[in-house]
Amino acid sequence: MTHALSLRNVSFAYDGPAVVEDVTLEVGEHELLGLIGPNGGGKSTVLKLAAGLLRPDSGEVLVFGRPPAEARDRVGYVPQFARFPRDFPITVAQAVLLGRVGGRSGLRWSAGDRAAAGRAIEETSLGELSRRPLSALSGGELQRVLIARALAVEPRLLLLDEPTSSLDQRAEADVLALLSRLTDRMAVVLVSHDVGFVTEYVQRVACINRTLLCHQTGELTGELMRDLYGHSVRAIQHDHRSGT
Amino acid sequence: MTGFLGALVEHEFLQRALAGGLLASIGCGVVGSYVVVQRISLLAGAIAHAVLGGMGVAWYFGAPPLAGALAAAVIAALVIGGVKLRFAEREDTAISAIWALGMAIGILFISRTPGYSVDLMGYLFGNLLMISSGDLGLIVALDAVVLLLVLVFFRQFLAVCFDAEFAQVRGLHVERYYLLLLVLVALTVVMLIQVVGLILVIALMTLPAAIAGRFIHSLAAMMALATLLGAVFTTGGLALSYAPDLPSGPVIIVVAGMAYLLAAAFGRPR
Repeated sequence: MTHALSLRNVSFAYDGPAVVEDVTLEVGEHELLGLIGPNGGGKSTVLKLAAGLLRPDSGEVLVFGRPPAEARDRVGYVPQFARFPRDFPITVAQAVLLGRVGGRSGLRWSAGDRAAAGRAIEETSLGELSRRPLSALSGGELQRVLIARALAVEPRLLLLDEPTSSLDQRAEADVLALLSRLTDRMAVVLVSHDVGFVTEYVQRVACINRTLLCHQTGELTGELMRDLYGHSVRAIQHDHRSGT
Repeated sequence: MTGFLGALVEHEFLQRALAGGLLASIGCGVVGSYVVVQRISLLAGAIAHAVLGGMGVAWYFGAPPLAGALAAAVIAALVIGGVKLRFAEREDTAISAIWALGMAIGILFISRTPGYSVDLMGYLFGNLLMISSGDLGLIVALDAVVLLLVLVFFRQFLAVCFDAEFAQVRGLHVERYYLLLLVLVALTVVMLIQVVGLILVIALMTLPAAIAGRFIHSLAAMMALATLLGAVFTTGGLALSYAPDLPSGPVIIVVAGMAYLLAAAFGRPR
């Protein structure tokens, strides 16, 4: 069977020690996988490897059985929105249409492009905001715009980097509920350092701190949390309780 | 102001000056909008100043200075772009070095060329009243190239400026578009040097777009409004400078700068 995403013995270093080492991971076609781990642990790097933004130093990354560069039309990528420039002169509708950008030139978008963007806007409940400038949106609304832009690609694998960081709990729950609905037609991989809340929604978590430490469904045990986060275990378990 | 209008009807050099300002406003508004949203005014400044190197060399060898400017601007844009893409962590030092090196080379070559000083001031601070019909032809040609490239690659440029990482995932050759954008900046620098001189180029390139950006929520509309503002500033500066016989370049920049401060003080906060 073909997996939406598979990493085999993947290692990667920027300039120096390996950030990701010997990671092997597979994601099913309708799975919602949470990639969790401490900051600087390599989760975002794994996501960038999957998106084809980085090439592994060793090992193999395959998206639906093909290298990421050949599977671009099946991948929707949602970057960390917290670092996004909010003052860019663009409306919600225009930003979502940029999901359709590709090699073709010209000023006008095709009817197919507009239709795909329209569906993505509807699915993320952005209809009423579509003419608003990005600068007038809340954090949660901006996050939905970036998800809509990725959905406009009509992907079968959606990759999200910290989609819920700096959102309030209600906005976070909305985003996660949307992502779990999407799994009926695509695989979803999201990176999060916020373990507690995410585990309520994802079907499986992969814990990454340079290497893949665990790979399982259900509750995370205290022992695993200790391996993953070292001393910060207590604080995280507290977060988990308050999040439920 | 009526004096200016009367003189405008009478003197061909004033008509050329007005046309030069209006034509350069097009490149200025379009490319200036990219410079503002991409936050690359430091790069634009470095390209503008490095251009003096090419002008000095051209002068020394008896070639047209603007041809040297054009070559130097494009080379500086590609070198600066390469530095920015490869050595992001040391880019400000490298860019400042190119900025200063270009000027130093220019001054050295000019010092070895007899009879330079009047023209040097013109290229540093602009002399719109001295613009020739050949210069106007060059501005028209550069406008045409800029507009054509922007029309053809509008969506790609928008995607790369808005979110280069996402554009790369979509398969765009982000670095190529980035370098092409810097080449557009270089072409615009050469246009604007004739209006306000290379030292004041950054101001004319960024101020109209920065004002437009406070009121506008689409890049295309920002370009249109910035072009209009550029036309108002160059025309207004030219008219104000005429009667008291002030240098037009600095007056244009003062007008643009005052408008920017007013927009910042009374415009909608962003």
